[in-house]
Amino acid sequence: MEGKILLEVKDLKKYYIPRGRKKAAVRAVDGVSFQIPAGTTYGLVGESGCGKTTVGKTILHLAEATGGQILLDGQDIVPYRGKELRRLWMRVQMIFQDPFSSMDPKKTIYQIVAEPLKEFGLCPAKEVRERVVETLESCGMSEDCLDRYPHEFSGGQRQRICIARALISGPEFIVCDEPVSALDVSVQAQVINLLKKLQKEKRMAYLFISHDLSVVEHVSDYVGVMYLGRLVETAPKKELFSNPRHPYTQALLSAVPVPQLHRTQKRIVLAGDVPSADAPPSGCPFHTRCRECQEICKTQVPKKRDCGNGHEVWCHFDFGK
Amino acid sequence: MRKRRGEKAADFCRKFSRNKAAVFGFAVAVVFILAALFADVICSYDKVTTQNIVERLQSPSAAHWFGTDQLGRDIFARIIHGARVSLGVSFLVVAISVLVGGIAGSLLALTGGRIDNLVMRLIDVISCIPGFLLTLALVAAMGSGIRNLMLAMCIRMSVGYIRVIRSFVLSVVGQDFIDAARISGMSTRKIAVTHVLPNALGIIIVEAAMSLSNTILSIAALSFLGLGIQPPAPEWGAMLNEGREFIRTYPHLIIIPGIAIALSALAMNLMGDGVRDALDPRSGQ
Repeated sequence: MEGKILLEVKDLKKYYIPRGRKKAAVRAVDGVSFQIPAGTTYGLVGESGCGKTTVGKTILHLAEATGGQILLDGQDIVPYRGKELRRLWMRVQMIFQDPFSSMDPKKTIYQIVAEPLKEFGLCPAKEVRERVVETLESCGMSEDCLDRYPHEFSGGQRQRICIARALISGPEFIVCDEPVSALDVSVQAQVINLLKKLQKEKRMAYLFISHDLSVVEHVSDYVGVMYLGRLVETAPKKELFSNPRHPYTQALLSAVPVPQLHRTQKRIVLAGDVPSADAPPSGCPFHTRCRECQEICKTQVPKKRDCGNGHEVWCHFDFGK
Repeated sequence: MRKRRGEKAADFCRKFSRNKAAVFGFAVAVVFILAALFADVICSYDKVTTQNIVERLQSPSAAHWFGTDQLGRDIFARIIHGARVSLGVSFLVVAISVLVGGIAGSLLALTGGRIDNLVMRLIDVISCIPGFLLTLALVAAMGSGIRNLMLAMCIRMSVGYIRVIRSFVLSVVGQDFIDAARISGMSTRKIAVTHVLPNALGIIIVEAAMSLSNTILSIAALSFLGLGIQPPAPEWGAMLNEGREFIRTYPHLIIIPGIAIALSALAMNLMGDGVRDALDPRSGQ
């Protein structure tokens, strides 16, 4: 599985600073680092508002990074401007969470899917239609949807059209921002299987953002868990799901429904709300809700601890098996 | 095949023609507009101002289709030439306000920041004053007359448009498909033209059509109060005022300009509704 590192995020920061009030900055992403080898999927999980979407958006320059580096093939893309951005977007694409707002209601499916192709000038005008049909078909949509409008399709169909739009420029990397969370469970499986099939065919890498652990377990090779703008734990999928070391990860995993009559594992219930990102707690960001909280957690920010096998955890203690 | 522009227009016409109320509104509006455009051909302006005391206060007849007023002037001629003033002024006011509001509103939405804040607060202050009162005050301050009336109406209407169009553009820009267009390599200017404008166009047209009827009513009302068009120029609102004394004895002096005002306002409203529905691809196929 270990291949060439395609995308590396190093100490990425994104602060939203209200005008003239530096101290009131909202730290949406605060020092996140991870690597994604070519052809693999990195699952990013966390509660709503923990900054996972912001990570995806900064990779595509839809939000400007405040600090840190994003290396694509070893080249930092954060300072990219103008033409460089166009080249970046040919290689990196995104699938949005809400298939109802990610397509212009006034445009036909043909216009929507052909847009990247035309804007990037990737193929001669005569072949555009052919390419659009080809790509739509690879996503399980037929040719007769071309002249129809987005509102005529169901959520699952729309999401497949969005996938076709993301694919058409032939990217190496796709940010999937909760691509299935707006869909019915039965449709979720179709879309996920489609994404996996396409990944195999085209050897693309995914950053798969989700709050649904069972989905992430199904698609990912590596998983990172985020809390309040920081990673708390990252590991290969099997390792993380079998031996979670951070109390937050353990709590999340205990909440995943398991089809088993008498559950042996006890549910860990997290009390309280996520603290506000504009006034994060001192020390470990999770200490206000952590059941294992000690004195040191309240004052010192935990450093990254390498547990081998690519398993890294940001906790003062080790709660692994 | 991909839809060509002609096909889209055909689509629009098909949907519009299916809406009976809209077609009725359109037909009435066309009649009024044609009457206004060809007023001189239909009857000369002399008839509008020539007083003929002998023939005063006549009921509708073959010689005077809508009868004559208290000075013996032909009401039909006055209605036709009045359409020129009433409708012409309304169209002009709405066109100018939509243009000003559209440009200013989208610019404010796209730039944001301090200027946006400042202008919007100023607009808040202006909006606190009831619209009609504002126009009255402006006309009173600048002096009555058609040019001042139009200016006052434009100020009042632009303020509303800026607010509506700015918030609509903001809501469009916040949607994911704008981000999707950006990562498809589209420039900001092209996004504004190909994605924001078509989505905002519907609401701009509907707002314009809806406020057209409002403007017709406002201008009639201001003229009724003697602040707009000055006699002897014909204007429907002014005609209402002049006929006021005869409401019991010669009601046609009031009824006919009243119908003209009501019918033209209704026509504009129905047409606006029809246009909005026909522009929306989500409405019935």
